[in-house]
Amino acid sequence: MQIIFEISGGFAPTPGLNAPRTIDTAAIDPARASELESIVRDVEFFELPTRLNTTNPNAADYLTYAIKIKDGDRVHSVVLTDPVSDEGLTRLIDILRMISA
Amino acid sequence: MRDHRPRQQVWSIVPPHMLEAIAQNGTPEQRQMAMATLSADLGFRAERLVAEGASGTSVASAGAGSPHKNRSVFSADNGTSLPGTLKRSEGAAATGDAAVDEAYDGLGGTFDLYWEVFGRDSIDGNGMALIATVHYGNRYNNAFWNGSQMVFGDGDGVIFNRFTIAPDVEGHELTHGVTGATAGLEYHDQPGALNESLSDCFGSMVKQRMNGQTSAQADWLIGQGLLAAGIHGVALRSMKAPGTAYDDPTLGKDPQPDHMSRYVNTSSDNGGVHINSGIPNKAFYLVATGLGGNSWDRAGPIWYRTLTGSGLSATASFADFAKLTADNANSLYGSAVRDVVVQAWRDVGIDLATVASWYYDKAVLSTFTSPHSMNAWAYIEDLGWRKIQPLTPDGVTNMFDLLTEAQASGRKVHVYADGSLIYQAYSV
Ligand SMILES: [Zn+2]
Repeated sequence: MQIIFEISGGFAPTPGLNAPRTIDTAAIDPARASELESIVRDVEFFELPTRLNTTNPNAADYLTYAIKIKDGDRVHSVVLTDPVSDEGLTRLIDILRMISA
Repeated sequence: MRDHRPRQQVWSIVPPHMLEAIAQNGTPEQRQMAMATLSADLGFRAERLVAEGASGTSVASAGAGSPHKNRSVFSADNGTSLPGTLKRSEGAAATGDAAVDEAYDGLGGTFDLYWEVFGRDSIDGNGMALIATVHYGNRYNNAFWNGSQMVFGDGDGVIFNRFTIAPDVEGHELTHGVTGATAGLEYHDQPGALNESLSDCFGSMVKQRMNGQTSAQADWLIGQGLLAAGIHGVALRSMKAPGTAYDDPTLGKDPQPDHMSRYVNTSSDNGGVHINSGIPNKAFYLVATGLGGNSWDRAGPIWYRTLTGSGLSATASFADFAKLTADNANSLYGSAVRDVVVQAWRDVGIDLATVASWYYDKAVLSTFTSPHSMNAWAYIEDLGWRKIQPLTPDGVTNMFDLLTEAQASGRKVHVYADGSLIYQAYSV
């Protein structure tokens, strides 16, 4: 499974932290990889709408997360912004942040 | 005042603080109606009433002419649901939780700046409660405004410290609420960068005022103390020297430009709203230091009137905004202050001589017309020679007559002019 993860926006977007990261689950710690794969399954990532939540037009400084996952012949991209209330997606973003740090 | 024009928020005729009093103390029917109106306002006021009901705190009572400082600081306890658990309400003692207490103090300093300097009663000018949630998310590296409240992360401790640490961050987030309630600057490209810059300008004034610093003494940094130990940088942004706040292997280099010639065209960050804000930030710094004293003495009121006055559209460009600051400088403090503002914008690459403005109470020192043409000129005090806009022969003749008469009688005029033409003139 290949994941491209990109964070943009926020109170202080920085060039270093906003560059897209590519994560290959075959190349990371196996325990972490299986955790990641099970979350992707649990949130039914490939069934999610491409734009997950809408941003209040008065909101500002929120982070935007773009997640693209390739698994076999399936490819799907999802964009979502703060605040993310879904627990599974919050966990997914946390793990992706941790791995790409 | 444009605070109550309908945007996506549902404003009612009855002020929110009165609705809150009705929702708590009215008859059952009144309470139901007040709650329905409040919950239409993005649901957040209703949430607050529920939270306050649960914790037994009361809403500040309404009273004309007195401010309604009403802070509530919640904790998300490292989750993401808002607003979370109430930790400190208005008047309550310090909790010992640094994030809670810093947010409470930063909100207080922000409320005080808006009330004591600009006479504005909270975000909406109508006593709206200030709500902040701290400990949001898991080592969350950000602070944001969700459209109705402030949200602060703890930072990961590796790159960022907690986002409550700098009072200018609280001032920044709360100002997003003020901008949303007034000019409603759209959050993309130049209007978005102006929206961001206004949050930095007022956030910086909050910090300078809390520290008792003049413009000359202030460091003009945004988010000082936010970068964790070991990160090469002093803050997240510098209004004094945009582009110099950090240069670090992990963060990269501060991307802010300090001049229009270095304007960054990008699709990221909603069109670089946190990047190109460096340009108007630098202009504000130049005005405040150029005028001397405290930033909130004269630079602040000029910017405040520009933000809350009727002239600023939701899609304003940097040049539109700059022109309004020059007009407001002139009407508030006269032409010498206007000149400082014009020079500041010129220094960041925005030349107001090419943008038409109103000039008030100017003498007409000389006039000239060519005998066989419809061309006419006038020499206006502080401006110099300007040609009368040649739209119709009658128009030129009428304006020329008005200016010649003003010169002869010594009466002052108001003129609408740019670097070459006079478009309108009235004698005073
Ligand atoms: Zn902002």
